[in-house]
Amino acid sequence: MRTICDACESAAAIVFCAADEAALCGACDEKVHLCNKLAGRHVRVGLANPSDVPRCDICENAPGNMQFPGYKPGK
Amino acid sequence: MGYICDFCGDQLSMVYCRSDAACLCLSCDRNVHSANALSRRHSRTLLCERCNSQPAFVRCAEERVSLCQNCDWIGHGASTSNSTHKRQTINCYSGCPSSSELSSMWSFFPQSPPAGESSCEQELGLMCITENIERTSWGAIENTINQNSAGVAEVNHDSNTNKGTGWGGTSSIPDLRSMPRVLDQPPGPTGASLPKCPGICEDDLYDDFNMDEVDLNLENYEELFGVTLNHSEELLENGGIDSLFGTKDMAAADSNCQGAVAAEPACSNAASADSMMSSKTDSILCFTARQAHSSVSFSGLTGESSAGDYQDCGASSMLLMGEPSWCPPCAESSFQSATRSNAVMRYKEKKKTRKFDKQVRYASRKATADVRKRVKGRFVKAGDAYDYDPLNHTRSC
Repeated sequence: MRTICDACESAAAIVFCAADEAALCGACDEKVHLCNKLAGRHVRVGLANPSDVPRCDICENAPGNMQFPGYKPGK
Repeated sequence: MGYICDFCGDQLSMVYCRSDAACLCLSCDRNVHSANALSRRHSRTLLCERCNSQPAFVRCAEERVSLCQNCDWIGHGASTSNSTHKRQTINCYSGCPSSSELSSMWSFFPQSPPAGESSCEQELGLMCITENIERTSWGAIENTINQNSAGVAEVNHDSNTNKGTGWGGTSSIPDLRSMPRVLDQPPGPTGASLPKCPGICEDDLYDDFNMDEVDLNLENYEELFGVTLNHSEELLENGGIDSLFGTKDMAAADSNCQGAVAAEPACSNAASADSMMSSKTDSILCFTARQAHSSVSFSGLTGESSAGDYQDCGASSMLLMGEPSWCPPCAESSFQSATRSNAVMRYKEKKKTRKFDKQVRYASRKATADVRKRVKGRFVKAGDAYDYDPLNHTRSC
């Protein structure tokens, strides 16, 4: 289940604009941020697909971001 | 940043947009932020009049100047004479207010010249037509915010003192969508309430356990044993509780029990008293829960033991039946047999639930273990060379 664009609420959001505090799909992102130069300066980050994020091995819930390749339990 | 508007580079900048991080003149502010719904949510505030680069935080009434936090500290915090100046916090706004609305919000705000206003008013009118629903709903929320003193008043300290009617309510809540959420919060938590605390549930459980037996057996108790309730309490206090908990006072307790029992004609009384002492674990539980109503539970226990437990305690009661004849010389043996029969019964119960199958305690650990690299059935570090002979003890650990 992906985030829905805040502007059109019909497409899946692919970027998040920190200044606007909104997740936008590609079309709305162009529409909003290309209309004036102040908006064009907004920093936007891409949103990841939930299925592409590796999850924690223990709780299987939160995204995992640390790896321990040499870990041996016990001993 | 600076004295000139970042957008047109033409006029002096008047307001600062936090989301865009830009100083804008009034007309550009209206143009930029009426372009789409997202930019309309930006919160804007007046610029500091001293440094013209940071958003103004307070307005000093004496000096009649809006200051950012730095300039406020420099001007008022350092010197003691100035620190008594009355300062009023400046609110932010969002949306597309006209100049007159801004003036009503900030009493010190100068009215902009009519020439510049007319084009902007037209734009404003256009915006109003297209986004009419949003604005009216926003206006309605504004009115309710002003009425709801409890919810929003805590957020902005000085807004109530402002003369602003429509716009004065927004200070730190620029987001249109967040406003309904703020209103919903006060009535929300009051709706939920815990149905029952766990203590009451526990009592219910024990009530069901004991009360039936009490009603059934109270008369029987009087009949069979002929002791008063006071006497039974004494019996319980001395012999019942202590024996169940296995204290070392069995000699005194036993003698008390025996004394009480000896007064009775029936030998079954002794048997039931002893079987009460060596009763099963579940009756011990309800006994401990009801120590205040000890007489009640005593009758419950005896009724239970007399009615249902004769088959289960068959072996133990057989032993106990023979005991009263030679009990006075060895008081401790009955206590030891009581604990032993308890232990035996517990063992038999646990024996029924034993399982010697393979059991996974943590599914997540099994998942991790399944994925791990193995060499000859043993976990290994990924990447190391593993071609050793397991019989050869040259490797450490």
